[in-house]
Amino acid sequence: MVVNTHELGKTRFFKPQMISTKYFEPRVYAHLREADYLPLRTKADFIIADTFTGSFIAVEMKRSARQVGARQITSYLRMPVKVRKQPLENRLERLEEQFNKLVKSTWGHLFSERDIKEMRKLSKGMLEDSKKMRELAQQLQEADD
Amino acid sequence: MSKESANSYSQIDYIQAQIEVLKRQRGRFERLLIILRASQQVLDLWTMQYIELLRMKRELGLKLIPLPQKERESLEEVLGSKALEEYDNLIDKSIFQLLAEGRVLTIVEMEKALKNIDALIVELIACVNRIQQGEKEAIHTIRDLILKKVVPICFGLALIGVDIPSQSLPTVIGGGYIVYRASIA
Repeated sequence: MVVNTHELGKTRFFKPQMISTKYFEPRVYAHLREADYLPLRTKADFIIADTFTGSFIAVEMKRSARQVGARQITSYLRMPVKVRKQPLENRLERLEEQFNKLVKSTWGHLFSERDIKEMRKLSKGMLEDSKKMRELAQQLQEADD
Repeated sequence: MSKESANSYSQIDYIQAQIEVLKRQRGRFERLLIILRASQQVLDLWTMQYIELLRMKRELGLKLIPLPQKERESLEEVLGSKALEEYDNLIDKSIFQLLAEGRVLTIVEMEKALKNIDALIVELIACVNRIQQGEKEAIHTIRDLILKKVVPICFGLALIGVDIPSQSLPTVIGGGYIVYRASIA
């Protein structure tokens, strides 16, 4: 999310992406032109917010004759806009997907082929013997009745 | 041989067979923990994310560890449909306890369960000896042990057995926790 601090109505939402430090989009220049006409220069020109986590960074633009630069401002700002928080269900779905991907992707690195093979053999044995344990418990029950 | 004696003998047979199976299961559980122990740091990373997941699920009132259909069917075949009915209560209760403590079960704790299972096996063998010496009350003691400890341990191990092939770490931890809690009951 990018909030235009000069015109809040022009807040835009973007998918996460790498921002090139070399070339700016035309609207950045448009913003800077508008900012030139303001009586007072604002502290932050853009606020880049992560609506998932609610975190944000404030960016101040600097312009000289031949270049445009940006720097992150570390000072605290009060944001007049409401950070859009995803519903809990969406966050859960995303976290679950991330977690399952993490487990699946590391499983192969975590355990050798031999370990995985052995674990499968162990699991088969556990299941077979669990069935046996249940049957014996039932037989013990019947023998007592 | 009287009917009563024959009955006692058959019960002893079942109990001794149960002890032998439990010994095998204990050996398998130990082997699994040895494999998992080597990866403790990565497991710690997984478990922190997993705790966060479980907290969100609890907030939403969802089942903490729902069993996928395939695993549910395998477990039902092994343990019977009645055990599955008790599944939700047992696993949710176990995991709630862990969440309340802000942690997930560690490999070290699961290794403690091994020692407890060893003690259980010794206790079962001692009970069998008492039955063989004519002590009838020992039958009730041993049935109690089987119901309260052996059956839940069996359940926990079955859960682990069902989930390893599908690489479901959460239910492996859940199964491990059931084994641990049953062994200290």
